Amino acid sequence: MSAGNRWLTMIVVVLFLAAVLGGALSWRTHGDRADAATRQHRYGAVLAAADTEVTAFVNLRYDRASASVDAVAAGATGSFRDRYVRSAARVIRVLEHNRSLMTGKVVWSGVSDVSRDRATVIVATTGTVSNTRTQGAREPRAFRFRVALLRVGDRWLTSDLEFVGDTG
Amino acid sequence: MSRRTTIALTACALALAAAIGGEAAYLWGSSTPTPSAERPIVVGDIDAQAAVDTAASDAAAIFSTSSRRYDAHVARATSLMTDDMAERYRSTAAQVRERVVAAGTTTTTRVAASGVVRATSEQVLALLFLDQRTTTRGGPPSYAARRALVTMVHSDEGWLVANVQTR
Repeated sequence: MSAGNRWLTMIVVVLFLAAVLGGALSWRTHGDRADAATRQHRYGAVLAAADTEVTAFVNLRYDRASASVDAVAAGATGSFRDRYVRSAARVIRVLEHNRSLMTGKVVWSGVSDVSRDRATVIVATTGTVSNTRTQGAREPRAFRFRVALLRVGDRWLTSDLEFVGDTG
Repeated sequence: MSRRTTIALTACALALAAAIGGEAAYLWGSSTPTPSAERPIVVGDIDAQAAVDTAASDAAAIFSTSSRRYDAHVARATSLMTDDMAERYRSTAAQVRERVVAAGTTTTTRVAASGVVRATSEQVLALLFLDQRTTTRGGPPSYAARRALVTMVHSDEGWLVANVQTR
């Protein structure tokens, strides 16, 4: 082997080692980035699920009471869903008796806590309420919610939903 | 034989150099993704939480005022803000100063809940639920449950409040 080829061989060996090292680093970085992307997409998924559930919760119509209640139940799970479904008949009676119309939309929502299978989201809404007490007039309503979510299969479902009132 | 070996080694070297170049581009060349509805947080959980925690403590300080230490409050509050935000805040504070001092108004604010709405390494939007208790001289306290969207931006001094929207 000529002196030139010996040098070339050494360069190839060094480049090979560098390529192997770079490959290992790239492999690890690819895994880290995939994990980060999964975690970051989880934020979007839990926010979307909480927004959908809260939107259903603040849009209740006496003339479509069953559909309104079903929309909330569709995004719920566990004891929260059981309680809600059990009280559905009473909720529907109250809605119809008071001719209640509640409309609302999510203004802002943010993730307080999230893990692989649990999340807590806070949601601010704005909207209106009208019923027999308001004599049909629409009164503004702004709510603050805390929503607990569980991952069930490939869906995030609400396991608890509470108003966050003024705690004084 | 020697010439063929040289060609083969040169080809190997070029192929390996190309592979290393590709690896380097992958490791150092990719940009941070843009936040979207599907992926609103494009930083690590710890970084996002740090910004939200700062937003919470800063908002509690900014929205807690006392007529007796009003000027000191404004100075402290504006130290937590970007220059633009501080200028806007000073302007508003100057307009209401006389009324606050004359009425002896004291407002205390605590954060009932907080969450991250959107986050990059440079900017974080934090949603805060604020509980406010306000007293005026001789009057009973009043309570308000507010929602605030706080924009935090990263600077050499850490996270600073760049905007606050309340509803």
